[in-house]
Amino acid sequence: MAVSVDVAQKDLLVVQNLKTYFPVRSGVFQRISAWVKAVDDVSFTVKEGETFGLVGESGCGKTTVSRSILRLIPSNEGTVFFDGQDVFNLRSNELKALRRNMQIVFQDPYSSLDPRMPVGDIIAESLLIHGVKDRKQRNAVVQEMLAKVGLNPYHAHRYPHEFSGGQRQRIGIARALALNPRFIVCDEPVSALDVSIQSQILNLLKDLQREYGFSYLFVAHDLSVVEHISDRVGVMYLGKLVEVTTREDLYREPLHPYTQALMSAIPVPDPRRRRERIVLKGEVPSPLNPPPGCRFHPRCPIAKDICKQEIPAFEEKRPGHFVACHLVEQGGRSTPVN
Amino acid sequence: MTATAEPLAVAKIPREGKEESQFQIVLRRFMRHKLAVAGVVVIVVMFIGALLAPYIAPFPRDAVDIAVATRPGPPGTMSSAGEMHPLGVDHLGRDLFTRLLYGARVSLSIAFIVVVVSELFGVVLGAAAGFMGGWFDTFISRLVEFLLSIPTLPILLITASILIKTDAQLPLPAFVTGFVSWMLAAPPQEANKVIVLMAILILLGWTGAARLMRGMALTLRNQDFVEALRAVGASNTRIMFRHIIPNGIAPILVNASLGLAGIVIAEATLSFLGVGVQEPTPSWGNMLSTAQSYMFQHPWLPLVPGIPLCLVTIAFNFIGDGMRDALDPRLKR
Repeated sequence: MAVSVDVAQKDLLVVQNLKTYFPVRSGVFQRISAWVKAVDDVSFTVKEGETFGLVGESGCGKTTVSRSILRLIPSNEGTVFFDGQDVFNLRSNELKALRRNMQIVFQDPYSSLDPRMPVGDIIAESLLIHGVKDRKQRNAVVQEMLAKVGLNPYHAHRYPHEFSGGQRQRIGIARALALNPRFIVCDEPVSALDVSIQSQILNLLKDLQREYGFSYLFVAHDLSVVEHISDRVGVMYLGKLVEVTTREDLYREPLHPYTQALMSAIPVPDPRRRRERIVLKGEVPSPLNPPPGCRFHPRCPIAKDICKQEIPAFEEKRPGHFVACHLVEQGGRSTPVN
Repeated sequence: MTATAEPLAVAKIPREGKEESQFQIVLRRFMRHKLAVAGVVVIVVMFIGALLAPYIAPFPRDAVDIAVATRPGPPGTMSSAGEMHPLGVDHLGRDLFTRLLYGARVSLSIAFIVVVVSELFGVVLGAAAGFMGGWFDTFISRLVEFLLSIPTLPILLITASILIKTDAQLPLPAFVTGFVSWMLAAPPQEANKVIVLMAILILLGWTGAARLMRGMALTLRNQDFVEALRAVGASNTRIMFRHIIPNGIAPILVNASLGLAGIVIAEATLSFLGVGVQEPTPSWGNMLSTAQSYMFQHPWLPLVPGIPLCLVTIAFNFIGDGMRDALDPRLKR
């Protein structure tokens, strides 16, 4: 059953307390012996027409968040509302209708296209699934989409292996666009590409957004890419969001110590400028057995006793600036790390 | 941009020059494999011979000529009516060339029907097992392991001898029996016995394809394109039949062509041991079986069915090798 909730008109996607755990099975009977807490209590919103960047190092759960929202992976707890519809409580026909509006672009341009299908059929298939029976109509859409992403109509007859990585990524984008979605998850769409191609694809994504007005959830680990494309950014660490704010705030004045360390690691193309780099000690702990209290405390340069005991609340420390840290004061002064 | 709007774009997608389809690429690569092409030629010749058996055979299939000078008689023996037996006659005075043609029809039909049906079973069950996982996968995998753990020849011997000696009949619709009887160019009563034999070979033969397809499905189902299909709401059936199976079919085709050789041999083995195709239906296997009683006095007798049997087996194996090379996805050109 779809449950309508009263959400602010501008919020297209509302994620509340999302938890996705993966069972670890062991023994002869494959009993569940532990849970990998890949995503543990994550909340954020994506507004109509905006790009929400999700950053974090590998294994922090960014991809799991995106797949959970699309219901490609079952979640344990929490709710996701898309335009007021409860995504986790839909009948199968409602879910199918919803899928028209939520699409995904993948990281790997090689495995994301069926190698035995011509590109035109790949793009047309989603239309076929959603009941566009008329072949002429599908062909028209295929050509239009190929043109939109900067490919030629005759490319429809070719197979994926005849294209370069960047071109394949364009095909993946064309496939996502074919159903005219309102929300597209971009799961590291440029991290497998050369830097020169990266900017082409990023600009293409931006241009398409300007034209059609859809929202992006942009998952990436490259901070400069996220800065380039996002309106707001969420930073994840070990299955939790530690900071969410606008791009300007985040890059100008990060509040969470983890974000500060991340920001200090962005390379600056200026050999004369001396930079204060914050080098974190240790490794990311296993999400099988995350540390108690604040998950970042074993590596935090300014951790206090409270950080070891209490999980910090994810609070709005400044208007529109959410941080999960005991040491960031209400109203917003960050504790200087150095 | 919506699917329904703007029918203005050209409905037919233009082509740029000539492009090779995947089939053409595979065909071109297959043609480079000379032995495989030779194999195809051998099989095609055998096929035409088998298909035209009722028209080109010089004598009726079971015509017994007891008045012939020597039984068994060497190639070139003259019949009592003054016609020549090109490959001689058997111990009952039946024309060996005629029986060889009909035998080809029986042996090759059995091989094709058994391989097609068992690969189909194997592909669907294996793809479903690998793709869906869970209890179904466990069930199919254990069943395959169980069937593979049984030594094939004893179980074939036991089941075949029980079923064939008791004249068991499978409850099949008439058109199936009719089709098989046409394939074998034999009357329906004889076809029924062969159907039982084929059923046994199918029941034991689907496991190879199932294992291969399951493995392919396991790797394919984790690919992003399957995730993309889920994201647009594709049904499991569509993903399985339109994406998993076409992507995993290459090793199955190779397996099938090698399987054809295997089934020809298996049928010959069973018939040789007397529990396969029963007289008077001719098959290469039971021709060999009768030949063995006379082979020390009449050494050409086992060669009549033996040489074609050998050729067909080698040809199928070469075709399999050629397909393996042609379908190898790592080779581009």
